[in-house]
Amino acid sequence: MVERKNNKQKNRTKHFLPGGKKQIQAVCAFLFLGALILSCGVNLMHKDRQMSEKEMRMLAQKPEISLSGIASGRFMEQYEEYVSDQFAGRDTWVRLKTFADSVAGRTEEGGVFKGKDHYLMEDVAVADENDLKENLDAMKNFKERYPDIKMHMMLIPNAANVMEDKLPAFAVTANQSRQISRVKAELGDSYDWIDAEKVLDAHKDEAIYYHTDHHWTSLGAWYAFQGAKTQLGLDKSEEIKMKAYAVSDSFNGTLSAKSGYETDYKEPIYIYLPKSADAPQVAVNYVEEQKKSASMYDSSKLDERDQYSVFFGGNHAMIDIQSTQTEKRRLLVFKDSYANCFLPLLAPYYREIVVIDPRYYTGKLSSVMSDKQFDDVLFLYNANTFFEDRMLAGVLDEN
Amino acid sequence: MLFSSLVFLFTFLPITLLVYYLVPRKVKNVVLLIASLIFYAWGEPVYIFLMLISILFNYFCGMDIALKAGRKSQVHSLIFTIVVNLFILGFFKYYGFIVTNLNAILPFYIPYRKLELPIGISFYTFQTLSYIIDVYRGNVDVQVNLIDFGTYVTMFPQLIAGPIVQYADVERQLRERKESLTKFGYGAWFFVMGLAKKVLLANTIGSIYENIAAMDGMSVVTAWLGCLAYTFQIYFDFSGYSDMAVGLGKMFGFEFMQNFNYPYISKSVTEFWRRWHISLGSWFREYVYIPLGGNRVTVPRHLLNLLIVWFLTGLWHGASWNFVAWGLFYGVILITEKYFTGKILAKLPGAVQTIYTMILVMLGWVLFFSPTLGSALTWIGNMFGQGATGFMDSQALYLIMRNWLFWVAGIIGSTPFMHLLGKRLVFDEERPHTVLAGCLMTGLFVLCVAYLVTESYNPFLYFRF
Repeated sequence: MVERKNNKQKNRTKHFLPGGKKQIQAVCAFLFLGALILSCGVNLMHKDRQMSEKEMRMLAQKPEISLSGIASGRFMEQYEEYVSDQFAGRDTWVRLKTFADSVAGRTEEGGVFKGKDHYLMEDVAVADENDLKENLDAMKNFKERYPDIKMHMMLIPNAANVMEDKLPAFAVTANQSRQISRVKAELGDSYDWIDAEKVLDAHKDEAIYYHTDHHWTSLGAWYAFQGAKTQLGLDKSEEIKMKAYAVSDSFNGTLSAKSGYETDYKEPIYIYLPKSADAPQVAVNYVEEQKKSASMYDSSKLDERDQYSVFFGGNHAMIDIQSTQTEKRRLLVFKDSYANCFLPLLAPYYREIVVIDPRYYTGKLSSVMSDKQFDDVLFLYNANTFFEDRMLAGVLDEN
Repeated sequence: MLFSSLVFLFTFLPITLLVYYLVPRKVKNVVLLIASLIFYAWGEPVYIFLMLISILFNYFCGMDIALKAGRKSQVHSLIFTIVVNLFILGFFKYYGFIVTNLNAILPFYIPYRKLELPIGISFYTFQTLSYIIDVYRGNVDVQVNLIDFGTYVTMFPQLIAGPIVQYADVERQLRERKESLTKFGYGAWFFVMGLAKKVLLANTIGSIYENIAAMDGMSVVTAWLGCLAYTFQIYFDFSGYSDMAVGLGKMFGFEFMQNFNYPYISKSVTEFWRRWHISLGSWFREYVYIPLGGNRVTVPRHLLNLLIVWFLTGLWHGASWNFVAWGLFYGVILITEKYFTGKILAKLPGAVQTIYTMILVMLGWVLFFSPTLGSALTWIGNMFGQGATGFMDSQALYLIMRNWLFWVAGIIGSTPFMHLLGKRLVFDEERPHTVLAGCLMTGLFVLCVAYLVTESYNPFLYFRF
């Protein structure tokens, strides 16, 4: 037996590759080396990119080498980030990974569910008890300081809550409705609670959320606006008739970027414009950027990846929207990005709306409050952002 | 640096391989030493000096012990060297633990600052100790070549997570070893399989465990699933890392011992420890258990020996009481199996033996992964219905259904099934399926890279030790 083996090996030495197990090993050696050389070569030739359109974020750049950076290990960390961010064919790798995940039956990626009917949904966030209490206390104190101003709270549920039936099979999320009710109970009578959940629940079979983005659609905002009109006291004004126009049919949102799911899914974005040319005109002042515009829309954003930024060009620390509305009504809005497609519906009804995004705002709130005589304050957040927010209390408590 | 990182795979490894194979034989160890130091410094820029000091210290102590051979003072040198090594290990690893415990019982307060644990210190201290003790025993020749000695201590394939290579096993390999194309290929195969275990199985199953661990309340089934997820994670993580180490070793011409031998098919806990982290077990047997007298002593003394070894094994894994509890838990089980239940167990059907073993091993892992003893007891309580939110809930069902493939892969991967299948279908001596093997390796490698490029979750468990 041993002899036969030796003979065989002798015979095979004539060939380029040895036989048996050894043949496999030799091939593995070549393949492994080939893979290393190939990837090194491709990566050496690959040009660094500033940002990833697909993932909607800036990519890490080559870190500068320094003695202190090396001693603290910061350089190494940055370098690893850089290599991973600038890896050649990154987008293709991401695709391969999500494909492998979906073959393996995974329906969740980076906190995003791959739901039914092409719906991607953000997982429901659970509030940090301390942060939530701090925010709610700050809101109550704020109301106490300005007892004469009417304050409204509008907490918009997320898709995973409203369209629970579109979640992947067996998926469970934390109970968002219960968390929302808790906020309502905590705030009590000091705030006028605008129930967006009920309105959206009633329309849950319509396109009130984007398929690939974590925002609600303009239609969702429209329904919520109709439901809120009375409580905001807008029903007494003359109704301004509006109509939806599609401004894009190629939107692929952040949830898709975050998860790698449904990257080929395109959907429309609508904006609501007054039907009549006589409707009040608006002027938008981006306070911090010191930029003025006659429009609430930035159509240049439609050529970029995050088309939702068409509303006001994205998020800003402070926006001042003035209109030719003759009724003297002033509104202050504390908001997250959900408000961006909601504000255009409000704007023609108010003479002035000051919009503050506490995540970016660093100014003095008290001076804003004394400068302007606000009639109403509206807090407008989607539930996930609100429950994860750590900035609101800081802005409200400032004195 | 981690093996499962892009910088290692596509920068460090290619450059090291290239230089290693270009230079003449005499300089190969120099290349390995420098590469290993860079490898270590990448993650521990400051502690590299500690490692250099440790190398120099043990190099000279080794010579000192060898020179004093036959003299009485030799044993003093040995004790001195061991004490210093253990002191360094103790200072960096156990100082905070000891002081916190002292503060709890002493009437006054000792201030302390928690030190960052130098990566791999538990591993390389044990390696140098094996050298020192074997020089004393005359089992190995003293190493006069500082480069070779440094290479032994720092060798990057096994530097941070073992296997704990005893000096006697690589003494010759440090001087003369043979690299070859087929050995390299075999190493590459090993490496890629280890990488796949780590990246595709351990990381994904680990995120299931993390999910469950973060929950507030859990049902009985969820508690077991969480424990099972950790059971798979730690095995694929650690054994995957060991496979990568063995594979890398082969690429540079070394032969390291296998560190795992399908521990989860064991039919007793005693057998489990012959199959789990083999290099640590043999180290303790060689340098603690046998010097204490092993089992050739009276029964009470034998029991004490076992408890000492398992106390130390537990403590080696981390400076915390639950690791001690975990070690003693095994000590008690092993004693029980040895003196009481072993014979009864052997008569039971094989499946029952394995289930018995796995339940104990899983309970052990709860002690191991819990941050405190109290939370470990809560978790174990949940597993048996105490404080659980019912037996089964939709959460548990979701965890099973969403990850069914990973559960199946975990079970299959823990048995020799894939190995035997591969032997039968791919590595057939008569008709090797070279194309299949090539596709399998390349496919797994590409998939691993995809996960590494996009990863958000790539911790490595044994860094803590």
